[in-house]
Amino acid sequence: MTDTTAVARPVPRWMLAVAILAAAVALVLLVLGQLVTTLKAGMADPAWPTEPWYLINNYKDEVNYLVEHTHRIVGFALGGILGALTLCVWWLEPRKTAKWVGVAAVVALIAAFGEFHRAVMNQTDPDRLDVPAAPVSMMGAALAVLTAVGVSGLAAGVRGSGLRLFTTVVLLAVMTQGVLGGLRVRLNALHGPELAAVHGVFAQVVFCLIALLTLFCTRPPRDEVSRTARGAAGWLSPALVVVLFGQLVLGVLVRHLPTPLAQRLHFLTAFLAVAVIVALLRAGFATTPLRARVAPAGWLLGVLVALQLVLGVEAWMGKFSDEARAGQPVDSYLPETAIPSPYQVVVRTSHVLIGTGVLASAVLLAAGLRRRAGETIVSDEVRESRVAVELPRAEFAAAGASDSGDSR
Amino acid sequence: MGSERNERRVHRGAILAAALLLAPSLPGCGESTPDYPSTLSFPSRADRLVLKAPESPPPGPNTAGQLEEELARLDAAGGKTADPARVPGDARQVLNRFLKDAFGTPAAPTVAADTAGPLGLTPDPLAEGGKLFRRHCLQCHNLAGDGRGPAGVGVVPFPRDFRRGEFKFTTTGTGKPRHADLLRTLEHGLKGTAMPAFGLLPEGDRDLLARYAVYLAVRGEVEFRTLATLTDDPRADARATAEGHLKTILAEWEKAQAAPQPAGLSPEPDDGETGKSEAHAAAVRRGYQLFVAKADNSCVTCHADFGRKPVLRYDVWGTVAKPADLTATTLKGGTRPQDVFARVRNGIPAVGMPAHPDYTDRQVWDLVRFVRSAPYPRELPEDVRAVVYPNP
Repeated sequence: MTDTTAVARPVPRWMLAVAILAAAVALVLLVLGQLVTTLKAGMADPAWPTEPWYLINNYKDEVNYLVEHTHRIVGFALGGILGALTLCVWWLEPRKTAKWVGVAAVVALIAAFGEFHRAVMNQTDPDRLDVPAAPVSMMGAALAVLTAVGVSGLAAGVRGSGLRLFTTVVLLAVMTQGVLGGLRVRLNALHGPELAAVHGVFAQVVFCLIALLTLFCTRPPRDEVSRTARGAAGWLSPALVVVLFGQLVLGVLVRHLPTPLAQRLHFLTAFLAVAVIVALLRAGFATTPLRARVAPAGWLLGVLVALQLVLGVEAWMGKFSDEARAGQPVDSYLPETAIPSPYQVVVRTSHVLIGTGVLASAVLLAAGLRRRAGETIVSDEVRESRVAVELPRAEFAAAGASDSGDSR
Repeated sequence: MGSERNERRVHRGAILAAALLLAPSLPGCGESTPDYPSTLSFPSRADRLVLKAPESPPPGPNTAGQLEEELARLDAAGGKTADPARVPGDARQVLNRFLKDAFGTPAAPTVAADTAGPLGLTPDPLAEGGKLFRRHCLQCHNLAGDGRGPAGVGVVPFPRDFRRGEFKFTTTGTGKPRHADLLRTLEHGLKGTAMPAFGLLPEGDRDLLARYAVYLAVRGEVEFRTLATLTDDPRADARATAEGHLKTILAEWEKAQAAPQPAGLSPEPDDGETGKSEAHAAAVRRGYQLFVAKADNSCVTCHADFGRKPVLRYDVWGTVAKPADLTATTLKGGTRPQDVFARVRNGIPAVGMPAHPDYTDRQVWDLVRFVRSAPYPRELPEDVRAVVYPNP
């Protein structure tokens, strides 16, 4: 008899595919968002909010306008995908009543957000922004219900509760990011540049959350790695996330709010980040058990950071060097007024995008190091594991031990 | 021991979590727009001077990102442009020195003339206005107000080039606005364009921005007119020419400020409920008759098919002016009754929209009624609706 073991999947394979799709769409959204910043197209259309189909009746053959509106459309798409994913994750709640309550709350949350959007769109006075109380209250109530059901599931040891809560958090983060982007436009006169910077930073947070969600949907590792076994990698990995996040914030300041201090710190922090990465990868690849956990994200991190350094130098030269002045006298050159060449558009956008990748890799590496080993299932032959989230832990273990032919 | 360690771990985790949650908000803290560097000067003008726009209609609307290329084609289209590079180097240096002496730098703007005070162009408000301009306007209108900022490259219509000293939406009968005209544009923006509304800004900030826009316009126009003179007559005395232009330009601005109040401020007649009362319907009919009347400067000449088939023309900046589609709900200069009244009464000289000084107030208000109802078929009387919307 073939004795093979496999680790149970936390979600069905198709849900993992949807999570990967969400991550891919988020990446496209990030590229567009970074193009919006590079081309300074954030205010190409001062109207917000607009419907997802706005371009159909309001098409203009202008690069900045099209980039900005495509950014909005892909944002809507990401929200839709995550809304669907959240619904599916709550549909898999094993407790029947909790399932229906959760699904209803997700539907209510999405509907309320749509109503919020519609209500703000109907406000015609650009000098006022009245927060529509009813949809916001409904969103708050829906979130409270989802939190209560999710936390009760966690307390009761219901499998998948953590994932349900986390997916809800990711959906909320995407909604928040959409509103931040809209406020950047609507409140441009008061806080435009600052909101643009916050929107830029939060985009990276959202992408990291989506990357983590994708990770949590994958099959967990087979073996545990103890705290002792993690060694220096155990504290270097979160430290790297903090350093990289700081570097990202400084980079956003360099792009959005021109201060010499931010420029200096962004340079210096790059050195620190490289040092921590080298130390982390050394520690991570030192032992075999750790290597298995660190290798995928670690290799990606190493490659991306090398690329990022080159792009950073090119971006710097393209904005602050004599090359950037393109013959303009130095005493009348202001870097923020330079129109980037197509090459610089590619360089700057890539630099920000790779930075996102570096941060996301570090987050995945840190999470991967700490991820608990999954439940193993025993079967006569290797088969796709079905949804394991329906069964509480104890019942699942009993079913797996007694029935060798019907693994779920 | 173990519980102490756990507690420390929890505290560290909590601090880290709080820091990560707060960190995205950090970019919003503190002074966001630094002062201009003290050594920064305004750039010397290098782009073409549009001396005369072509009379013939342009082949099509402007294309985003193609401004310089389209200006370079104006001579072939019957217009007249000049290249500042043709001005002799020594004359150019004299002009640049004069501009710096007379107008200062972005960090220390000034207008060295007696008449600058009455226009509000004094150093302190200009310096504050300059900082606000850097934060809110620079990315489109650029450092010298030439409309060639990095955000303006990819939009149409192009951001306003202040250096011609002319603006579109004025109530003075000329291309020079009064202060209130600029304040209105700043407060409401220009719908359908990338010019946003700044109504959320404090009134004082808008006032400073308006003054700074005038400063850039005065400086830019002095440079423009002097360069135009020098390209025509390279032997002219650059400094004396510039001084003369400065005096003339400031006088023009003062005259615009003192222009009689536009009749747009006259009381709006009570024509009853829009789209429902007989008085309103009658006003719309009369306005429609004026709109389509066969006359030299009748509206339909340019707003053909009520603006659906606009007759393009070149404006003073050498770019393409597209008469508004009056069946659309957006008018750049605003759709309030007083905005439309001002456009009809004063025209838009910079784009060739004629003024109607001979119309009575009632006639202008009739046109206002028609224009404001044109986008909404239900507000038009049936006979007018049948013509404006023949295919409902």
